[in-house]
Amino acid sequence: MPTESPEYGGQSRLRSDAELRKILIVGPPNVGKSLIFNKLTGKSVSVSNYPGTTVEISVGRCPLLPGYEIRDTPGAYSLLPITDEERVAREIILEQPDALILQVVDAKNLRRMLPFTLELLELGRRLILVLNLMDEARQLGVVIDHEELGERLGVPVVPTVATTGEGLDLLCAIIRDGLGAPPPAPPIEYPREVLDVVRRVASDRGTPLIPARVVTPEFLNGLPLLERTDFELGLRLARQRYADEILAEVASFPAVTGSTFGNFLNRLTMNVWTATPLALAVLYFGVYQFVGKFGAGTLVDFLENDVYETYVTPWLTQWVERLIPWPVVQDLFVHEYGMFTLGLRYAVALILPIVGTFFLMFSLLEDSGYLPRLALLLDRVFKKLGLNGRAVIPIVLGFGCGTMATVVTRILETKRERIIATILLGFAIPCSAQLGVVLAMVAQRPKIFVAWIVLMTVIFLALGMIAARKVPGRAPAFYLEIPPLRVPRLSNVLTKTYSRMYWYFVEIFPLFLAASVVIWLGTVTGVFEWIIRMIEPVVRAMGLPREAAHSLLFGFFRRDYGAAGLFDLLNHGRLNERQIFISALVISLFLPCIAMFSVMQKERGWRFALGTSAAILVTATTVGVVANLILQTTGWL
Amino acid sequence: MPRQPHPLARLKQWLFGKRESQQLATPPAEGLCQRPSFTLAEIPPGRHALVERFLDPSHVRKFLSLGVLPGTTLTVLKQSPAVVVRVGYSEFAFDKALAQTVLVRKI
Repeated sequence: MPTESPEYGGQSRLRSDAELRKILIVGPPNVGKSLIFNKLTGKSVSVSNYPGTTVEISVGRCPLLPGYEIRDTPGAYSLLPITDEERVAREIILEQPDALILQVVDAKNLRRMLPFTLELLELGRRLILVLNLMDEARQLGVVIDHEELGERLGVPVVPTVATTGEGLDLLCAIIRDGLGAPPPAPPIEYPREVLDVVRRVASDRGTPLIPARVVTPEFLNGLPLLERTDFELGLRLARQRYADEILAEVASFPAVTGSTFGNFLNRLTMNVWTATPLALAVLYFGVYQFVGKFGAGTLVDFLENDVYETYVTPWLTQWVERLIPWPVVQDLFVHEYGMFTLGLRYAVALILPIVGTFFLMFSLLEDSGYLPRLALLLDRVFKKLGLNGRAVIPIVLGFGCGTMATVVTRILETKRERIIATILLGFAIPCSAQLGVVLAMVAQRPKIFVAWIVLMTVIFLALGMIAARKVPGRAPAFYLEIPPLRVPRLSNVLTKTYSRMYWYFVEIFPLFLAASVVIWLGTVTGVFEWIIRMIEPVVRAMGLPREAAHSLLFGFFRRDYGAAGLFDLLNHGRLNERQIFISALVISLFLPCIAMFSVMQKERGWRFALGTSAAILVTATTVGVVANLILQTTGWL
Repeated sequence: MPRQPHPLARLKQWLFGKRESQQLATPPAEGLCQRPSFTLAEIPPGRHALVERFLDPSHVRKFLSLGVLPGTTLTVLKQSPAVVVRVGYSEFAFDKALAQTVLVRKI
């Protein structure tokens, strides 16, 4: 997850010092690359149990390694990319021919990961193999003679435990001492079919027949599918055989033994009959009780009423009124829509506690390894929506921050899935700010609460089913590594929560203040009054009071802003039950905030962003009006 | 003890060299009668299997990225809600459609 700035492009941000020698941290997802990066540089990039954490490329320096610059790269299994992340990783590796590569692998799964090492060695790069998660490997009885392995590969091999920092000093010492020339390419015997393909590319360049140096993904994608697959299989099998020969002499991997408690728990999280109640319990305690009741209720009450309105607002108002004599300018800072009394208050006292509690819960779920199990459980449901189980990660994250979740849709394999997921995030997944406000509005009223959940679920499913039919492309395939269940480390969870909250705050804070200024401008010039008069008939058709038009208009700048406005109305007793239900519904469906719009535009293009936003606006209004008509004629609420 | 080859086969061997005789002398390692293949989606939980080959080339890259190759032995842990297998110390989940593209042999 990005922590440095609210940009998403990645590459453009990589300005770096030409003087510095480069270190690239390379490896598959979920082996502790980001954690090693954090430990070396002292930065806090979040670490997760699912692929896709490193959407941005983090750059940093290590105090123990003067003169070096360290870069984290997205998870990759090979230099022949399948996903966007792998493509980025490949580009970075090839762009930096002189960089030292730290290949991080999961020690217990060395057998599976060593072929990638061989591939990197074929490139003729200087490399250090880092056997991370050594503690888990030892627990399983895995023994690796790392010195002998290093001898056979011709590169240093360092066992580490990133969580405790074990082995990192040795790693730094090896880097500081400097590495000699890169070892020669490993003498792997490739079958004739593989060499034939390599020869076809190499003949016009006169290069040696080393696949990794010669064969590009572009060339492979130009081959007929069957030929390409045979080539890739042959290549991988030959490397695997070479790796297995080495490992047979330097390492032993004992078979997995009987059932432990962890094993039992693991089965429980994968069995439909036990996992469904578990998921509901997580939803109830995690989202409803912790985020909804505690975050959006207790914390917001305390921060907003007991702290902000009691001390901060009067104090600021007093000062502003004393320093600035003109009431119009005073309004910019304080009073009803002022930057301090509205923008700052919403950001700090209302949104921050809600988002904070959500991110804390999400980080806990992530670090325990629960999310991939949820993906497994929901795969069949998601297939009906044109997605696969993997989409659980952006969708669940969307309940925290839709903007962040839209960036994370990159972990989905096909463009079709990314489009469908973005549409669902924009329409039917309320972000934690909206959710917090909506929960606070409806939590005390069970009837409305249930009706709201049912209706939102129906809209979500219906929309997904329509999208699955309308968006062209092949049905997705689901495959996912299920990481072991781990007891989350408090320090890790806190670091992650902090880095996400920081990202969120940096991203939204200026927008909140800017929205305050726009609202002030709109009010002073009378433009808003005019717009409100224009949308008033719509608001009235939804059966909402006139003031709700304000909130809906502000909701255009940030939907949580609009949500917070409605919450204010409720607190002042200006909404009846029917109006509560309709506002909750409309706010949940409402336009994505400006930040999400800009991410949608960056990831999917202008046409998609504008089209989706317009469709959302129309849908939200229509649902509001229709719901009002139904409720008024039937008299249910 | 290998059976004494037919005189005609001996003549053939004498005429055309070694290859034929080896085929006659050593039965295939798996046994004389080949064991039936199944797809991964048909192996009951708790059973072990050996990956033989892939039936759909468009999905092979996915298996390669997880290190599931021809010759890999795996243990099937679940068939529902998705197919879950253990390979070494890792566990992977596949949907049924994907599991049906992997031809395996029970072991």
